[in-house]
Amino acid sequence: MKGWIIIELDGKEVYRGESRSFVQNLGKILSLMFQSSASGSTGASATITNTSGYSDSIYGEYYGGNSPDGFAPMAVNAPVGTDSYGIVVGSGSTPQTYSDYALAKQIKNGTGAGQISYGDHTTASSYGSTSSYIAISRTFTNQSGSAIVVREVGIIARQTAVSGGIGDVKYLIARDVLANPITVNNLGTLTVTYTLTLST
Amino acid sequence: MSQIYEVEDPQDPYEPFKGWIDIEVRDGEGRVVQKGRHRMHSFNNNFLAALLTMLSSVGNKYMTSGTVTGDSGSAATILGEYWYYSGITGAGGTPMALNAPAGTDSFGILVGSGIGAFNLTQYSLASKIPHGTAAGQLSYGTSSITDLGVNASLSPPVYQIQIVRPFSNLTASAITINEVGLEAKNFWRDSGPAIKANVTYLIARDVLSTSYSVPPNGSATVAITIGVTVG
Repeated sequence: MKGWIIIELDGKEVYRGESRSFVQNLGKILSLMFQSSASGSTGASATITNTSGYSDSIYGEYYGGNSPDGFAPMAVNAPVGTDSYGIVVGSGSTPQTYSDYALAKQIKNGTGAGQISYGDHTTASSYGSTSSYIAISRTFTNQSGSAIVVREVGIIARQTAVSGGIGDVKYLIARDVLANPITVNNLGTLTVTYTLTLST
Repeated sequence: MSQIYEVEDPQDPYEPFKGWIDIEVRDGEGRVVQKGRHRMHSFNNNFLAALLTMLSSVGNKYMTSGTVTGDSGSAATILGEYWYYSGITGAGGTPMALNAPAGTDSFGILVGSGIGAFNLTQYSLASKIPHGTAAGQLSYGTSSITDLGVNASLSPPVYQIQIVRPFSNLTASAITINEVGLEAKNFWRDSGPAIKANVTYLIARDVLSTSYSVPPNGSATVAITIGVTVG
């Protein structure tokens, strides 16, 4: 299996590299899912550091008790305009470590100075007998009036383990610092795609 | 089998998901008669599809679904999230459970006698050895899953998760293991009670380069250490 990051600037590919970006939070959530027994009872939890830097609990199997309730262990498909989860971009260049819990300096959604408009996500997939892939992408549009430099990209997952409306955790699962910064000019668009490939 | 194994691949240290299979066979006296280690090469399309279903979730949507090939060979709908806003309680589930109890051969670590080559579309072992005590069967034990955390001594660091399951041969003849699989369970429900998804689906299969013969009254313990490269 391979992981790839592909970045397009104004529709033209400007970066393609092997993803070296997962952080320990991804291991924790997968571990919790694997530890689940599908018994119909809430399973074990683990403590992670959320994107605000505080400790929070996540689960691999969860059932609510009070309406509204439900469970989404690792949601990434954030809607347009939402910068608290999904694929995110930043201007920081601090080297990645497995204990990262947020981008070094996330660029926020918006049209003000230093902000970028977060678009919707799209997914793609292809499944064959000898090669397959899945991909998730997000487009960012610079409507700030000035150029914006992107130096890091990442994925923030959202876990909603909700009973009575309480329980919403945002946690970083991937962060990559780009070898070369990418400048997004005013009215320019940047598309970031994470891809996982399998081959025999 | 409490040893903590290093999970790394010198040929591709940055492979995001990787793993090793360790097998130890003991005779009826408890003596180790065969053991070996095999690199996993086996995550399949179902694994990717299940990951994509989770990632496609929004976090507050009634349902986000995806499709895998169930272990019967038919397309099956799995969920990445399940929510209910009013009137129904107990909504929830789990997308990729592996912690199967004793006596269950529908998910968790499975073993088989088949030798057919692996391809990404496979949805079951070539020839699963079923649970039981009759001829050609093995008694499936309780799974144990240990979160080993980050092994920072590796370069790059690897987050390790170890899944272990014992298999006992309570039949009168030796039984040969040639293949090992990981089958997950996607289960979602509310307290209606209404089952929204209950699907077992293969996520990995490896044909072993060595056959393992489990003698009568003997046992085999299979440990799969999955690594997530984190840096």
